[in-house]
Amino acid sequence: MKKLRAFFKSDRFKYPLHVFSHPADGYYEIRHRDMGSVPMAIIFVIIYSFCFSMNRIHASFVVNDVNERSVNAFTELLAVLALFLLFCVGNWSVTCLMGGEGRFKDIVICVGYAILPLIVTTVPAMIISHGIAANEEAFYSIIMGLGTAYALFMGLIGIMTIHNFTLLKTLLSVFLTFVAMFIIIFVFIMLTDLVDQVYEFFHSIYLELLYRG
Amino acid sequence: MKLGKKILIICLAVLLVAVGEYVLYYVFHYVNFKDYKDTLSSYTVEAGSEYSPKEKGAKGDYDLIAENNKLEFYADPSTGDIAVYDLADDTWYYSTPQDIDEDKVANADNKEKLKSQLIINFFNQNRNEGIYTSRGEVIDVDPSQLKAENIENGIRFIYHFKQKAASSEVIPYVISRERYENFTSRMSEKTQKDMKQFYNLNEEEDRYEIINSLSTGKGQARNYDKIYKALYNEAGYTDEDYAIDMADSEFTVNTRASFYVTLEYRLEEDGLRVNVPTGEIKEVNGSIHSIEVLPGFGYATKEDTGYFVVPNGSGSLINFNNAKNSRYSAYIYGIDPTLANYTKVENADTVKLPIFGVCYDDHSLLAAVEDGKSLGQINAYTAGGTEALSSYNTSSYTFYLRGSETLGMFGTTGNAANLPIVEKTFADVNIQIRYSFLGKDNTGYSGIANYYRNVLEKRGDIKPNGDPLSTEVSDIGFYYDVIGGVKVTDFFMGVKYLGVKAMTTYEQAKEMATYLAGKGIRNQVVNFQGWFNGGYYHDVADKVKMIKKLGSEKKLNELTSYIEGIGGRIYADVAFQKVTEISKRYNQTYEASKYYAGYSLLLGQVNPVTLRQTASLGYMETLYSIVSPKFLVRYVDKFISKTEDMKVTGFSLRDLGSVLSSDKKRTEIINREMALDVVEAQLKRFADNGDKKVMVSAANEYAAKYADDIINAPIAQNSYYSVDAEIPLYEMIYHGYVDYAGYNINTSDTYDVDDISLKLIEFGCSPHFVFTYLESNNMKYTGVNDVYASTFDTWKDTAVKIYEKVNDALKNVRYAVIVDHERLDEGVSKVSYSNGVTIYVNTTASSYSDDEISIEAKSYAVKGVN
Repeated sequence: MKKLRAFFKSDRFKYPLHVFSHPADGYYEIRHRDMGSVPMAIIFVIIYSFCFSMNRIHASFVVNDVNERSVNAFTELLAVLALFLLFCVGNWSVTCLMGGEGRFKDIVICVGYAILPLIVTTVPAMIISHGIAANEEAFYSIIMGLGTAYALFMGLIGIMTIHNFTLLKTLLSVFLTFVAMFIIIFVFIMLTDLVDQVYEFFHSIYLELLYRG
Repeated sequence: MKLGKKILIICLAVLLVAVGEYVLYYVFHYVNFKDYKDTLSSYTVEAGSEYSPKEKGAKGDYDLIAENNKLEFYADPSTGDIAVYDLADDTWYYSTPQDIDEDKVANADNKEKLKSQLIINFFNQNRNEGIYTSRGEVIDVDPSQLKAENIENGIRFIYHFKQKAASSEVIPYVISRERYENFTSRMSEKTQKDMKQFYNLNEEEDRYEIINSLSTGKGQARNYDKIYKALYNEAGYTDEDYAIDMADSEFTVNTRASFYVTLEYRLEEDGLRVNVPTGEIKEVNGSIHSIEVLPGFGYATKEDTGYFVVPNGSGSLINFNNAKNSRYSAYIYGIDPTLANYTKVENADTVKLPIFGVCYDDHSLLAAVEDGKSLGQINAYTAGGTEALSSYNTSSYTFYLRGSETLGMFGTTGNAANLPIVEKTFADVNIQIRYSFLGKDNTGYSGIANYYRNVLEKRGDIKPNGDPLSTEVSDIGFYYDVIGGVKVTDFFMGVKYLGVKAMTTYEQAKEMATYLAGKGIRNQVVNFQGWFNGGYYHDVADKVKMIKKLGSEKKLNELTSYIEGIGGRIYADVAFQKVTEISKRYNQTYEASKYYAGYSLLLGQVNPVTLRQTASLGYMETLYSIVSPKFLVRYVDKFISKTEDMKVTGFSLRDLGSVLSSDKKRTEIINREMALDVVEAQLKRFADNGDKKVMVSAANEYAAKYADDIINAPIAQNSYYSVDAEIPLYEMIYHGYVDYAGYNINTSDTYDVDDISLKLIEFGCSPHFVFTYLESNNMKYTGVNDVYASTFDTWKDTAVKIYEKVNDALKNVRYAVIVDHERLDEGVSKVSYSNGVTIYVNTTASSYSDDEISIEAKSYAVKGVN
């Protein structure tokens, strides 16, 4: 019970807002005073995933050319979580080699909190999209763009702060993170394919034993 | 012990019990469930006696075997040829064209085939395909390979198919010293000297070996022949000796396939019964794939005029000598889904009747399969074309005794990549074809239909609905499907799930029925679809859970009593064989019919781009597997017991009467003939199910006999290039016996009310619609989106109009039988009924008149009504 109560301490909910308004300061405290929370970060990602799906389903047709019947929030949630995990793992493996100071926990929190501006802007943008005509997509785009830009900015500051990197090194590490992500995906696909082929091979032998003889 | 360890042990124990329970469940519920075996049929084979014909050489080479007051049956025991003489018509039917040797069109192979009574397709030990004909591999090799026996009223031929072996295949490459000396001692001195040139003594092995150079050098065949003569002719060496010698050697023995096949003929009151009891077949070094029976029987020559009658959809005629260079061949009851190609290139009605007919000018021949139907294939070849096989028009049945398939193998390319699979056992069935010889009373295709209807009635398969001679006026049925619940994709917070949408509730259905009744339509036949287990594509029927959204069961009972009250019938639709992919209670891995490779069959809609019939097109519920006949029994059992209290008039079987699938599960192959036995037993259960009636969709012959109503009956031919004219063969057989309706009119490919009604009038067919109370666009994004025009409000007036028009003509002949159908001209036909009523139909855009009748363009006329 105590633990549960501790989890719902108001700090935990307020702190992301502090990070939102004071990114550099906020991320520093996360790294050095453990002010962040992994569950909160994950919850933000989940909420963002729903906002993302909702935007694809409900945004006005002026800005949205997605067939809403093809959207399934659940599969998109899985995809967003997978990408989130992939980025964190990629970043962690790269920064480990580059002498970054951040722990895996910090990276998760950093990325999770950085998503906050996207959550804040997607829903209003979606609502506004219903009040605009063709040629006025700019209003929608500006809000979405602002959200995205601030999220990127927060993420950049976050990674820089928790790893104690210079800006150049941060940019380099982000680039290498994407490289790492591709390598992970490549290895994963290759592995499943290989396992599949091994299975096929033994299955073929089995069938051949059954029917050739 | 620590707590953790205890918990671990308890968990393991629970897991073990659970696994054990599941294994027991698996064994008893799936593996040992053998109820289907009770439904399988069996047969006995009559013992034969020594061959003694009634009259030897009664007609040329032919001996008289049996006779009755209508027919005489002749056979030639030296060639296996048979002939039947019809006394009343003075006509002869031969199994072999009489002047075949003079034929300039047929090549040697085709001549051989037409001279045969059996043609066997087989796989040899290397699984390569081969063909043996009874002329080429029995008579021409050694006439003594054909044995004749007497049986009651007939004759049995036992064919030993065996190719003449080359000398090199039957002389031993090695032979033990003792045996060699034993054999050579029986030869003349000169031969003994010769033999020394051919065989060398190998001291170490203590045996004689054939000299190596013999097997490669020039003149080897001559040397082999010499050895053959020495051993077989002089020393009395036999095939058994060859087997003994080669068994010990490192050489492989001769592996030519040979077969013993029994063919029986019995003369019966009304025709000739031909049997091939496959239980009597013996296979040596080979596996029979298919047998074609009597390929030349009832042939028609270049001079003959007439046609073949084939059950192609509703029925088709193929004119003799039509010079089309194309043959008609079709599986009876359609192709086995486990053998069908994934790519589906045609949308065709399957063959629903196991018959074909050959109509000459003034007499005809009807060939009906009575056993082995599901393995059969109908063939018809016409002459006259530049690529014709011979100058004869011939027709026959081929029976596929064994399935075979090529499996693609992993990691190899070319020939080795394809692993041919041949089933170990073949279908054990007493194939039975009855040839009936119809005389002047039954000419043309009307004669074929009349005669076959009588056969079915005599057999007790069908009963007339009323008095076929009565001129009483009685309304025909107004058939309509009502779509109740439909699976629709719903969203909860953007997450997809399948919900049920009520397209028509019971109350709305009653409203529709009331409207139609108000328009004077009282004989309403309702097929209520999607009423349980989640809607149209419902879950397996072992449990019955009504859909609440459609209304309570009380409302359904009200609907039933209303419809029955006005003189109609309401059927609740259920699918048994095709189980949707989204089913929850069904174990596809264990219960579905399988391919040889062990995968479950999984089919769906035809993708319009790739033409593969495995597409879901976005709606998973339209994917289906087919329940193995093994488990079909259980589902029908449970469904019938669960629906005992339901008040509907009966059940409509969506797929039980039209789908026939084998199960290729390796350890328990259920062939199609067994599947037919199982399915037929299930249909019988529905027929015997209290006072509930049965409606069958697209009923095959075996299902029609249990049906009170047939829906989706074939009302058109498949317009293949090989066929020449469309006839209502199916309708001529069943009219007056089983009420039937064609495909739903809403989605037919014409809007013209005249075209639709005239077709129905010509085919004696009731109209069939599909209705939903809500607008059909509600089903646009569902698996039922092929029903795109079903809104009752939009259709009701057209439907009533069509019904009234069709009923006006057909109410005079409700219980009558179609005795004659005739094409007076292109698009003009005359249908005569047993009660004296004649209906003329003119589907052309210009009026038609002759001395008998004159009909306006696009209209019909009824004659003979008081």
